[in-house]
Amino acid sequence: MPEGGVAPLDVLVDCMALHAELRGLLLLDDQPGSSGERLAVVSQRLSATLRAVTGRPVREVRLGAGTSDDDLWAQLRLRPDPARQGVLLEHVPQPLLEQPRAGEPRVPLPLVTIPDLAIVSVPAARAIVAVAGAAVAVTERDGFSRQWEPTGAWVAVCDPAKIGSISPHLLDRFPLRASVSHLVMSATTATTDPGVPGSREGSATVWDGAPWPTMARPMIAEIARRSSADAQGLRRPIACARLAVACARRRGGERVEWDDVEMAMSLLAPPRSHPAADGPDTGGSRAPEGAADEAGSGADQASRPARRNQTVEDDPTLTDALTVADEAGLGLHVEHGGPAELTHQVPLPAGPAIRPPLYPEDDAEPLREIEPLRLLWTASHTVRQLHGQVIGTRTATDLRDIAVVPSLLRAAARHIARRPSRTSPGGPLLIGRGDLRAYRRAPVPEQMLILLLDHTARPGASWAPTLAGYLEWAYVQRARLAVIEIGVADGSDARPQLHAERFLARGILDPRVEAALAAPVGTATPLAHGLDLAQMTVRHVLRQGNALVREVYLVIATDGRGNVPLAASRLGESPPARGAAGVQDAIEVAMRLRGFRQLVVHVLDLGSAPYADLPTRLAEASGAVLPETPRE
Amino acid sequence: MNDEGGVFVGGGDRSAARQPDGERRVDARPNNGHRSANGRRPRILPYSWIIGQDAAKTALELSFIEPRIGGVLISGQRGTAKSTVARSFNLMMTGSLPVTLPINATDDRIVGTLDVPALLEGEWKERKSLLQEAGLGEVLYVDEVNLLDDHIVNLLLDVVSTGQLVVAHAVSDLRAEISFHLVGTMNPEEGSLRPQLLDRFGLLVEMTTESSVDVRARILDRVLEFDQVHRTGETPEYRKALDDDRDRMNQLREARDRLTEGGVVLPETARLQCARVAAALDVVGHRGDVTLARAAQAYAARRGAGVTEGADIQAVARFVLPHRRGAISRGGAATWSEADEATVRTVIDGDA
Repeated sequence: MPEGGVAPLDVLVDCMALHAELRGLLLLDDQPGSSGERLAVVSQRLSATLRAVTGRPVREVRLGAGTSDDDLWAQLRLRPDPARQGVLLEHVPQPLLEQPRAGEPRVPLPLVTIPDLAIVSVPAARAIVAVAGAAVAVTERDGFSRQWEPTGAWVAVCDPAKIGSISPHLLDRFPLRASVSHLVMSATTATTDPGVPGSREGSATVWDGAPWPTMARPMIAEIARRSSADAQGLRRPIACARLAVACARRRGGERVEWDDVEMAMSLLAPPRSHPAADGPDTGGSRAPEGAADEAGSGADQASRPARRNQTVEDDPTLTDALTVADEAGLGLHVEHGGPAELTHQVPLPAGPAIRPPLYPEDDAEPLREIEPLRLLWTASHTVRQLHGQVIGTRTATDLRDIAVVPSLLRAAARHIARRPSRTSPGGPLLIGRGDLRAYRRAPVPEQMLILLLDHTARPGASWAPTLAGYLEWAYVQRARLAVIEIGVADGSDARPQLHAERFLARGILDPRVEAALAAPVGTATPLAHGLDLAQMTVRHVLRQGNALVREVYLVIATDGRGNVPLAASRLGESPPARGAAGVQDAIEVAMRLRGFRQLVVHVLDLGSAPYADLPTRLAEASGAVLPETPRE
Repeated sequence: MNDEGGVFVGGGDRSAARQPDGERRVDARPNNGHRSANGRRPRILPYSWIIGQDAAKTALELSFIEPRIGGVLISGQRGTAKSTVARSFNLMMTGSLPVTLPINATDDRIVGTLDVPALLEGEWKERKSLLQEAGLGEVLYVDEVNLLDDHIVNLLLDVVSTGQLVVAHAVSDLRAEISFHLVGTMNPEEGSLRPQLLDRFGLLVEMTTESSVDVRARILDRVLEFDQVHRTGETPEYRKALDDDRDRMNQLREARDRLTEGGVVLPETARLQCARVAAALDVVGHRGDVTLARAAQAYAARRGAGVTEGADIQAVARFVLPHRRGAISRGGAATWSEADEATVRTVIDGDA
């Protein structure tokens, strides 16, 4: 724990409030399903501090698996027309837009909480990418536009075991990280923090008028040096440096001291030893003395707060489920959509009090969920999101999936006729029931079958007997189909085809499918390129856009003997030396198929001696199932 | 344009200088594509303060000097300042942020319709679409372009490829000539871009993470300095950066004018070199050859020369050709290697 007993929660929360660029916190919790109260402790502390520091009301916004675009950006709300001519429409911006509204002297600051980042809906994930931590955000929806500088705070919970299934792009939007149990345990037992004089509600006065702290170059160099092995861009060292600045700001310093740097590093750097020994004076986080002297503010010159009460975190014997008294930060007002009121007992997950790594995605391979096809009930997309591309509009029969702008246009065309002469024709737009239009959408198959056919391994004249079960499933489900072919016949000039070919079909009745099942066999096997096309197809249908497929079967029918390296396929050049490069590339590409929650991979084992193990290696790399493969 | 934005009044009644969190209390701007009503500069690093990323800067500058190049796609890992470079460049050149197509956009805003806020008040008023606004400012910026929905990409491709926006529905019958260039950013980890759209970007830049400790430290230093400026007001260094930006803008405008007025020659030799380089690198179609010639000419204009040389072609080939090679049509990634660089050199030297 940094600073001998200063609660990390207090430090992080204060720093998030004090430094607008640090307002993203990812809480690692291996039991996110029961993290509600732990998240509430953090969000309520943060809410109070944000209010105290910014002077703005805080409005909580919760994002989950069912969050839609309308929930996020703006809604058109119906209200009765006083003249009883119809209904009136009112544009209601959502809090994320930070838009001023009549009667509100101060724009509320959005505090966005995400109870489980792993199952958040696609619109919510896109909102996080577009707004969290952005210098400028833009929305252009349903006739309305807004561009603004986001100032909101974002707190998400994520299970470290599932972090491989989350886009790194999304994780990157949270500059701060903490283990939630570590954070909450320390918070619930720590007493008043001497780093912040006065009560939290009145604490803003401490920073009023204080200069923004500067950081000496040796400190910056030290943070850069520590992050030099980090290939993840510069966001982590930037977050660390900003956290050090915020720590200095928090204690009212005009300059960042080495202690501030240490505190930032200890909060954000993964532990190097048992946390009981991971105090501020250990772990090698001290800068060289020379560097400290150069900065003109050596650590020894800074007054270090005295170590206070022993906290739960310091108890290495803690192994059972814990219930810790919540002594502070309760009863704070959350204006909108706030969590259920806290009890004074905050349940903490069982397990040793060892701080887990804060960046588990760096070490862990992408992991498949245990039941990849079983969507949690909360993970179901809304009906609207599962609808397909808009192909027109129709008369609305209910209020679902209303086509806003077409409805308005229809109402506008009838507007003047509807208004009695005594009323101003320029008055609010009236919407009649007959004006309402709903979207007509193309149907979206919820399933997709991707066949990767290695013709050089085909067991007979046609793939049909081998693939009969999958094809039947695709027909019954009316699944979309993607066929990726490798090892098709050489060209007329007898040059082997070094790349894979792919086509997309609406269903298995597409005539190209039958042709592909009995394609002439060639000599080259660009397996790695085929797998690369497969993973790109999977990524596209599962992650891109709103019209998403819910489940994908990828069937890889091969003997695993790839003999064309990936680079050769891409460049269309014959490889200088074949060797095992093609197989190795295929294994590496196959590993990228892990981590898709709605994907099931089957490898049909068509291997034979002396390389009979290759399909098994491929299956292990991709996390695939190896079903019994019928052969002729 | 929308009047909904207004002035951001959040932050209570404390003065900006005394805000504990240093938040500036003013919205960037209410409208898309223009500076804020109060004239404040958006929270974007000055262009001359961006350290490294020379390739992205060069590509953006070339695209400005010769708009017919057709825009720039900046691809790179997260945390490499892709968006910052794109926005900062536009801010330097035009004084405003680019017209932005966000990934959550609905099609009515892309192709245009009536002004919905006005309509709700009973007023019949047409409103320019994002594409029309982009035509006025020359640039349409798409952040996370590879995350756009397919039907939005289709709309975009229709207009970019035909140069015309055609809208016909109950309240509008519009046919307008539109010309803008696309500037996009994307993280390839999140998925690829359709080849048809990829081809519409004249130049492609791959941004990488700076690995030198010294450069990383300078970047950190600059970011912290900008944080401070944002809170406490302009410093002499910051004002100098804005002056440097103005100088750079003038240089680029001068180069553009010179090119437009025919002051930069593209000799026959250079034209042949462009065609041969494209052929040697398995470039699909002819757009690559043409763009290579235009980019080389812009590069010559940028360095103040009056004649385009082989070295100019060599300098820009890595931006023009990677995403137009045969591998892309086979689903591969845009690649550029030292061997490709050597091939370009060999072709040019062979012609010289």
